[in-house]
Amino acid sequence: MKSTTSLYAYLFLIFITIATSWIANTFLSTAVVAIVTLLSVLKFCIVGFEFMELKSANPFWKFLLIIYGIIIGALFVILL
Amino acid sequence: MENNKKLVLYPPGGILMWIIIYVELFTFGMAIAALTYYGAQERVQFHRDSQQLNTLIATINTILLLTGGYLVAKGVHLFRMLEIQKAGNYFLWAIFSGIGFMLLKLVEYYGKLQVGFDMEYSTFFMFYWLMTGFHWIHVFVGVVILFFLRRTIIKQQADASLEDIEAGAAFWHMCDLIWLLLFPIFYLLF
Repeated sequence: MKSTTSLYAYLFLIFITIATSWIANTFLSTAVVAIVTLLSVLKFCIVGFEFMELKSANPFWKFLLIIYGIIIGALFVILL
Repeated sequence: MENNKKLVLYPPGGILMWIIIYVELFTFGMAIAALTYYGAQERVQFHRDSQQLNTLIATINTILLLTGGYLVAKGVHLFRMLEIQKAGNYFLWAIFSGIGFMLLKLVEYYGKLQVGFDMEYSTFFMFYWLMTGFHWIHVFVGVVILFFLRRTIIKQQADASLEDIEAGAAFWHMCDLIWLLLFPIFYLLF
């Protein structure tokens, strides 16, 4: 893990967290579900790749995490 | 060791920890699927119940968990660099962020119980109590693991096992991952 990369990832995660809360509380639209879901899955993947160091792992583990995020995200968007 | 991580059997934190992580993600994933399904059936009720939750507390809690995740990742990095004392300090601050999360969640739970939003109040709150409560227990276990990791680092210094530290850190990050899915579904999307 490169220390500076991780710090940037952390700051970006905080920014997205505040942004998703603001978007969800400010706008009322079906597009909000898609945007909030997309940003949440992005956060999920950043934690996996940066903090859990999956970016230096075998592609199998990266693939599994991304697929999981996509399935959950698709579930949110389709059903909600 | 670093080269081993490219092999499928050696993910960071060890394959056993990753099996546990995916079993947990699968379990929570099934619960999230059920919650989403019932949410689509009872859309109005779920929206009304979701409005009773405190988004500000949940946002602060998300920031606390992400901060804990960053501190642990940094702690592991420093341990590899043999900066043992600094690594211990980062783990200590991560423990504080975990405790902060748990206390804030208890404040939220107390508020909900005071106004009668218990498990039997509605389908939404049944899922809320089960899933966030189960996650709270995970965070508690994570804090205990971090406490023992820190103690091991301080006592054994560079002799502490990197594999153990990476495995404990992976468990902590798993708590982040689960919360990052629970946060939008309970507080933002309905």
